[in-house]
Amino acid sequence: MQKNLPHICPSCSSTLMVKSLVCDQCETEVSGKFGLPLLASLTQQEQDFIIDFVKCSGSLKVMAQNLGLSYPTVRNLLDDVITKVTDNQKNQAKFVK
Amino acid sequence: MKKWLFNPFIYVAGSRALLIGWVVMIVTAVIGYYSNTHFTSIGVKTGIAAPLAYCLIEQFVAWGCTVLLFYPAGRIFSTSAIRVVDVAGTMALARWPMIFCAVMGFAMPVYSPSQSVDELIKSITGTTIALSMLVLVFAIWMITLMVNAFMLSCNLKGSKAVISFIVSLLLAEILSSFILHHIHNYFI
Repeated sequence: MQKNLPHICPSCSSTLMVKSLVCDQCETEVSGKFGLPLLASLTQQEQDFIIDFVKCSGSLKVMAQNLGLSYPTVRNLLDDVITKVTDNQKNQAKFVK
Repeated sequence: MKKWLFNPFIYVAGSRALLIGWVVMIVTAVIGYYSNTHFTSIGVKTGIAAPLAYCLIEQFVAWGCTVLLFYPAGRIFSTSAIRVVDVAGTMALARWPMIFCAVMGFAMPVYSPSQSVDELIKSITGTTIALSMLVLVFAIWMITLMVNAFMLSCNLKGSKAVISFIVSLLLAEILSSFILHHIHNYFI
């Protein structure tokens, strides 16, 4: 079963932070307060889209062919991801301040 | 199936949609020539005879006016890098339900300038009214396709999309009617 990394608090809907990281081999634990990477705040579908985009060397035409979708459909999906990433970046910047 | 009927542009757009749309428009013009059916951007007129050249020009004027109005609207209101070929292609493909209207024109009465108003009213039967309603359904289907074509090709959503679509469509209809009126006078 693939577990999705939660990034939104189920109680108050704020962005979650990483409190501890653990080494799977020696079980060393690092504690602190770390922000999640920007891409981790995207849904699995959006992350897959970005991976596909990189694999297609950033060509929307090739990506549209591979996905069996039209060019404007793929471009609109990319624009939605860009909007979400930009918003998340702004939110993270606010949080850091 | 529902997506293919109301939003095929998810799968087909750009030059491919443009080519299919142009073929459909030419076929509609030829059927319309034999069935005496004529088109503006969203309007349908039946029972008026006109030369084939006029029927062909009519299709391209009707489509061209929508592209001429929707593309600038998209450029103004959208933040995406929209392409003219996507707007032109999806708008051409959106006209495909008009084929059915052209076919239905065969069952409509033909009007002649010498006909009196009484004769004209007498020629309107129950079948004519029923077919007119059916033409309206196909026109609504085409407008639905045009809405989806505009929203997808220009990446517009919400009230911005609705308002810019309505304004552009009304202007396109006025412009195409004006141009076609003058072309009609030239031909006939």
